[in-house]
Amino acid sequence: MDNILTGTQSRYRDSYAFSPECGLVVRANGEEKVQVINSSGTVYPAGIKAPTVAPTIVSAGTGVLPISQYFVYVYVYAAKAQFPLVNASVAVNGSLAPRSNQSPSSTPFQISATIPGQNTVTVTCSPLTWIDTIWIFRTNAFATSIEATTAASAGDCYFLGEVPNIVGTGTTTYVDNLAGGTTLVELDNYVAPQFQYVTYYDPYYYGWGNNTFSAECSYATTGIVTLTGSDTWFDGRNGQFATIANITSGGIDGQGLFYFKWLTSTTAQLVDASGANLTLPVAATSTVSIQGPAATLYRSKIQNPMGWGDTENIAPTTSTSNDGLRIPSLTAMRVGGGYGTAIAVIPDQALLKLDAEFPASCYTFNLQLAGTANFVGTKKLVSNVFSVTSNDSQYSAVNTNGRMVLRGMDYKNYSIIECDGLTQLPVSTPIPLILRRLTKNRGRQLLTHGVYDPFTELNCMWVSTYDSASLINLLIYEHAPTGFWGIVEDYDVLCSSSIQDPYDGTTKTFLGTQSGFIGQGFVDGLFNNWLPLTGLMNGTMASATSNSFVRAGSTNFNIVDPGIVGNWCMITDPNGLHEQWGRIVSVTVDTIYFDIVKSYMGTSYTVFDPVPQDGWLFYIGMIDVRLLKYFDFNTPSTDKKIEEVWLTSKNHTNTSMRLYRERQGLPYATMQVTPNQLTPDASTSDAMFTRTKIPATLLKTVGLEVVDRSYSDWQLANMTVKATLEP
Amino acid sequence: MAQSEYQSQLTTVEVYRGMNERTIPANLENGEYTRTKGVSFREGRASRIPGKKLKEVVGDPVLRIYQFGNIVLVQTRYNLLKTTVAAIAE
Repeated sequence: MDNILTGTQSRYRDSYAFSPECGLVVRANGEEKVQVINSSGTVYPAGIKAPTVAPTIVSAGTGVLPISQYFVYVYVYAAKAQFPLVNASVAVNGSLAPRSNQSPSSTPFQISATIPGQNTVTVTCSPLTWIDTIWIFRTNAFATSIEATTAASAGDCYFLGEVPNIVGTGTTTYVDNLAGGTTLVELDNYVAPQFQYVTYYDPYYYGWGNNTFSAECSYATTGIVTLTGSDTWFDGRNGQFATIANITSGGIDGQGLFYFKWLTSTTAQLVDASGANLTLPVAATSTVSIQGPAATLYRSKIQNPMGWGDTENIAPTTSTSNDGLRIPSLTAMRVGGGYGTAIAVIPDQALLKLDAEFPASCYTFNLQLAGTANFVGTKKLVSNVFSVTSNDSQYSAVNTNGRMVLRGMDYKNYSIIECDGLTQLPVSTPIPLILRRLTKNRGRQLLTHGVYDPFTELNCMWVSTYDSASLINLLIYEHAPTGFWGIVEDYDVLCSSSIQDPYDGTTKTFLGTQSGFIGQGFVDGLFNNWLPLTGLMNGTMASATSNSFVRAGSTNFNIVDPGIVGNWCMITDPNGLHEQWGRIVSVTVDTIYFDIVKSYMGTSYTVFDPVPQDGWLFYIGMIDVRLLKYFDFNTPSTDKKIEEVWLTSKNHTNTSMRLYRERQGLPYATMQVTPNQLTPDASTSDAMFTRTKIPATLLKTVGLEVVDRSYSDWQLANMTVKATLEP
Repeated sequence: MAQSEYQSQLTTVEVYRGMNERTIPANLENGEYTRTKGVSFREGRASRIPGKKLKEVVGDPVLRIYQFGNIVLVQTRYNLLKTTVAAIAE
């Protein structure tokens, strides 16, 4: 893999949006400045900063410019070679390349009172190598200086010509000897504002949300703030509002509100709107918070992530001027809600959905009217109760009706919610207990992610439980055709993504882990997680400590191929109970060591409790299977005696059954028994009929759980329980 | 035979039709739809869900994977990496 950016922020997941039309990905995360990535993996800022130095003008001798007239010049940077698919709205010299806004205006320059002239325009080159061209613009001729200045201030400058941007030379010149141009300079090529999340729906990119940055700090009377913990900040926060917890005076509002100016990864200066340094009354330690516009929707120009503005023409053109009266502005719209948390386009519908929290709200906008004045009027409140907490938890799902919808996680309502464009409502009501045992840590909530896997037809959501040892530890899924919900321990799966393989045409689910694995999930015919092809995967312990064990026997672990270190291992007592999980940090031929542990008892995340012993069992990279069903034979108040249990199963190699009294579950299993294989396939693992006798006990309800701990394509067709009522 | 005596001799059967894709039991189990782990459905049966195949070890935590065209971006804890679909999907 090629490293295209280093030292990036790790506070949030990146948000990406790709436009096939212009071939560019926009990258946003709320910390670093918004960027653009092309198919070569080259990263650019999302926009070209306007030149900051005004051009200077001197006479170049006799020419065509009329005597005594005043002219003002500006110039613009353009990138003609790097973005061939970007179509700016105005062609300049035949080019639709992305460009900056104009430079500051030159001082008005008057032509000689006696001889028509020409002017040499000196402009400052950009230090950026990908800026290849500088476009020169000029006002019409005016009889007075103030008229020329006013025209330039209004943006009434016309294209004259272009010169190459020569990096390293400082300046370059252009000789103006033209009567005048006809192409007006654009005024709305603003660089991308700061936002957290981005999406694309042709022809626009949309930006939304800004999370709060909050961290421990020390500050000096000079207005210098220094982070004191492990946090770092980035210059994407520049210009946002900053507050310090115990500063309630001074600043730009007299109550302790400042602008943030990034200095280094751990230091910043508090400034006012002009960028001038502000001071603080005392030096101390506290908490600094930085906040950008949290519920403002931004929009790019058409198929152009290098420009984020729009121009309103509020006056008609005249016979002497084709400029009208242009009002440029950043394309931004305050939507409402507290803090923007998620943005997405409803699948198969031209609807943009925005979610916010504090307070909750969910709105849609009609994208068919994007770019028109009517777009704002299409705003529709979908819900002010249910909204998506985590942007990455949103994905295009298939519901039980076979419709494409958006699903996401709403932690404040303990729900997985579904939006069809008209409503946004919970769909996870069948699994209320699990959803009330999820993490209360906001940072972990934001790591929730989801995907629809077309191979298994599962709608998947990876979450963290309240007691998780790792950032993500549980997969909640729903089988789309049946609406059947299930869960599985799925440690460390930090991200998921649908990737279409151009070679076989299929869409695959790819996963990345906290331990640094990248791979495919839900692989046809594979029934383990991450394992290499050879080596010992499961067995019995010869000895163990609180964070390691030595295998029994002589078969060795695979210490050559990747897949063991970073993988997770289940350990149980000899009866298959007291399940604990650990992440493998190192391995030798006979010993496994763990760094993170999900223990059966206790609160430690580094040691097993209880400590494993000789004879305990281990399973590396295993997918634990359990099916628990309570049986009361529709007579819940009647005593009954369970006689037999019949299983119809396939690939029956390490299957056992647990019995629970009444409606108890783990850890109250009263016994674990191994079913006996019967005909017709008693000699193989394809035991289509398996019977076990349940020891006599009198119950009104019995819980029976089928457990399979193998690496096989285990299947269960049915489970039949035979009981005698009131024996 | 009295009714109670009749019932005492009755042996009855209840079937968990977990394998039938269209008749999954909708009853709540202790407030939970199901306590099923690690299975989904295939060919009308409850089956172990498929697993994960390792393609690459990058070491740092992987926060984001994103495809555009034939390119795949991988956000790790402190870096942004680029690879191709062919490199990780084949």
